[in-house]
Amino acid sequence: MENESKQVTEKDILLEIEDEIIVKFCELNGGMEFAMPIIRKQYEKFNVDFKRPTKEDLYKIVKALIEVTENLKGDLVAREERRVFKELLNKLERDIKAHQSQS
Amino acid sequence: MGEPFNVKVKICLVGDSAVGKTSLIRRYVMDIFDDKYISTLGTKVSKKRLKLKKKDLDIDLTLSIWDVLGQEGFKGIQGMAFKGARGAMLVCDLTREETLKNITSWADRIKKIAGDIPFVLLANKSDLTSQYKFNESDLESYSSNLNTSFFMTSAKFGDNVLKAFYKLGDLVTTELLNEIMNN
Repeated sequence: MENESKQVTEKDILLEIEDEIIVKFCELNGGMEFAMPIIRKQYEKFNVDFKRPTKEDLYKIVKALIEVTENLKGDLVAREERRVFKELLNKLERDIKAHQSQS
Repeated sequence: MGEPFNVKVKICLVGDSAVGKTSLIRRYVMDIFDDKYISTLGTKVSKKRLKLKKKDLDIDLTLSIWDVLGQEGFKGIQGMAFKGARGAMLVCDLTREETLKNITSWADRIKKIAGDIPFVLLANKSDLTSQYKFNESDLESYSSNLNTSFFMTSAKFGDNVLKAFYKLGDLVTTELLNEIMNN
């Protein structure tokens, strides 16, 4: 399960950001028990495999989740979510770029 | 006769992916089994009521059973799911030795977040006898190190599934009652 010396792959980078997106959405939308079914629905809607997301998949999911938050929680929470997701997607772009330049 | 004592607790099922966590819950909660494997995205929560008798008290226990994805690379989701758990089932797969070796790491991770909660160790897929990669004495050794009971379960046929959930429910209730008595 744990492999500290494992080389980081692009897939690892995508999964790490995906993990953070899901956690943040749950935090802003009433916790895991309530928010996780909503997340699952979006993955089904866009036919995204959560174990192998592409960068484009994550952009689609983020956009859809923000729309859900707008409807559920209103502008203020959606704005905060948009800010956090933007940071995460920027981190994703940076990390992928850094990874590609190393390999 | 007194009113039953209502208790609600959260328990988590943890272990590597594809060990049968979702199937064990489906067997316990709905008494069904499906061979088709679908990885759990994040977490899924099921509820089940259990009646117990403890220290002359009738306990009506509602288990909030959290199925937590075992996939690598989702430490944030797993950590969030472990918060507030009062007990955990550590699940491994009798046909894959590494799933038993990883049990200690799962136990450590959940302890870090939920504290020193009761565990039970489940070695699932006991129906696949010809494919066993470890045996009862290996399980004894792991369960003794973790100070837990162990069960060899089959989500497919239901063997020991009720017993394992009952055992964890019992351990969790005992802890809770002890806490109440001591406060």
